[in-house]
Amino acid sequence: MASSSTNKFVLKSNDDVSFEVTEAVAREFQVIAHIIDDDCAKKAIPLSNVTGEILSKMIEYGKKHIEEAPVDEEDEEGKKKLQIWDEEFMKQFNMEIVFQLILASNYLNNKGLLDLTCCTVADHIKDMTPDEVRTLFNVKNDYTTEEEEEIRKENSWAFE
Amino acid sequence: MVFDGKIKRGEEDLISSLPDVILQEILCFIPTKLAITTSLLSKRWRHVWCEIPSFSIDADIYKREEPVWCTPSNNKTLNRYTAPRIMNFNLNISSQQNIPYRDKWIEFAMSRNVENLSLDFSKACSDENYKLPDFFYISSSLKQLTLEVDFCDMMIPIPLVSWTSLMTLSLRWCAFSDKSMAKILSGCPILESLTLYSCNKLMVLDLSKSMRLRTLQVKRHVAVSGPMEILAPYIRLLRLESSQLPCTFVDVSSLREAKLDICFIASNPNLKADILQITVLKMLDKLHNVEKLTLGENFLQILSLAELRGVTFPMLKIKALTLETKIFQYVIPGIERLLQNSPDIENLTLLPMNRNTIPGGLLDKYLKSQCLNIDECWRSKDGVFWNKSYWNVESNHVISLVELMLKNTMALAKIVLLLDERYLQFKVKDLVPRLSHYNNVAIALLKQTNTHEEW
Repeated sequence: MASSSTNKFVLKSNDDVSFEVTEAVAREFQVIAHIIDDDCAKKAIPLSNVTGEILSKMIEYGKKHIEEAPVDEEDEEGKKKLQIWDEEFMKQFNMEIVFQLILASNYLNNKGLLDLTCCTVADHIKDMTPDEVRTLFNVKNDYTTEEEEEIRKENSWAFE
Repeated sequence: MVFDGKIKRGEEDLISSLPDVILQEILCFIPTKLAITTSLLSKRWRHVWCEIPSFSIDADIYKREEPVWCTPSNNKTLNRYTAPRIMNFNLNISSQQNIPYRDKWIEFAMSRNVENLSLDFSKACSDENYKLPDFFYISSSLKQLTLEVDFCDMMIPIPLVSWTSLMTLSLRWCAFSDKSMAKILSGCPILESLTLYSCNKLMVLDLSKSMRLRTLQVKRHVAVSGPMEILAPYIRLLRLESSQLPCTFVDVSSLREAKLDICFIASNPNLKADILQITVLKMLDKLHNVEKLTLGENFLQILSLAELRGVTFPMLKIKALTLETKIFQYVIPGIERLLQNSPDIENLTLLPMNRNTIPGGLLDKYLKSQCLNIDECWRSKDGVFWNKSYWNVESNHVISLVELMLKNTMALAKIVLLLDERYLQFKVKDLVPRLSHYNNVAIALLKQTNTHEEW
């Protein structure tokens, strides 16, 4: 078997954009790793749920995490560096892209990116009242006043 | 992170269209109490929280909590939680008012087959009469447990502990006696990793029946005596930060990797130099099969004392040695002797750590008390003038250290120097041309800034 640094695979988005990546990067996404293991990766691997725009960002993330992977569990310096890069990486996206990245990293099964993107959304919810969250994310309140009161009562502990 | 109004694109409610599992992932990153309030957003959100895989309960923010939440007659909210299994449950109780609820929380977590449980009661005022409830000690789902409590006594009220799936156990400030610890260990047949952080009551840590245990981490704070003896024939990896009180390795015969240091704090500036020298040399003597060794700078300083007093060191079979130290005179004799006694060393790493260092003055004082001339003691055989304080390290000292490493080893293939520029009088890059002519060994020079370690 050729080493994973020389083996290349082509990932193809649902809008027909192709990306050539090393095996190591491809394996950052568990679903693709399985396809490779099952020997189904001879041609381009079609990813029906991901656009080229999102896929290119995911590959950028995967590459970085391969290249700058911490040496071991105790490599605090390495972990910190990567964490700072992650933060900067997320800053470039609007929420719509963040949601697409969440769905795509869930679909391709990359736990690191899923956590990172979910955490980004959580950071927005964190210090907000339900009203503020609704405004921020355009969530429409479809409760009647009575229903709302009931839910507050049910979970009175949480609403103190 | 700030999105500067970039969030709103049209009037679409994108977040609500995400599948439940993803919303639940998101809610795991916020305190559970807040996650529950999302049920008020819209009908779509009403039951989303009811299957979150992780709970994070920080009772500190619930100080004025009315006792409606957890009393058996009125635990409406909890009953709404429908997932059969909780992956992570972190409970942090730091105010006294919430002490009565802690058993309820534990009961809830255990009843939902929690896998990773972390209980931190250390900031609540210690309550001598509190015992963890019986049901806490019996679980077949628990895989990982972190317990941080500082009760005066940690009696286990039931005859048998049964944590049949537990693989990782971390006990912090837990006053378990040898007897209680034995009870716990016999109830954890597949335990792989054990961390004991200042568990003062332990005397003999007997892990001879924990056949699956591979990793042991022990921190004994300055005045912490326990455990005094470690009997761990199956462990492969040991990390020990020891106090100044004796600690003996009775059996660590399977050990492959060890990381050792001594804990020192400036507010307790006594140095039990005699005991420490005996302790550290006895430890080294037990590392027969260790191939990868990491020693901290306080450990190295004590080795220096032993070397200066002419004590015999054991021979070591280590192949990789990491010196977690800054460069200064008080570690040099210890390092030199270690290298001479480890003929198989192939890899050497220098990694400065940001820890409390035993002041050199204490070592000098001790040597004087032994009627030794300190100037002669610390004078280098190679004519190097080593810096007394690590704040005065110059580029020459780094070069001298590399030369010392090369001179005292035979099989060395690689040196990695991580240098913390906060302690240097020069720039790391200025060293490059001066090191480049050592071509029989690979030297990697790295700039190190953050050297905090976690327990």
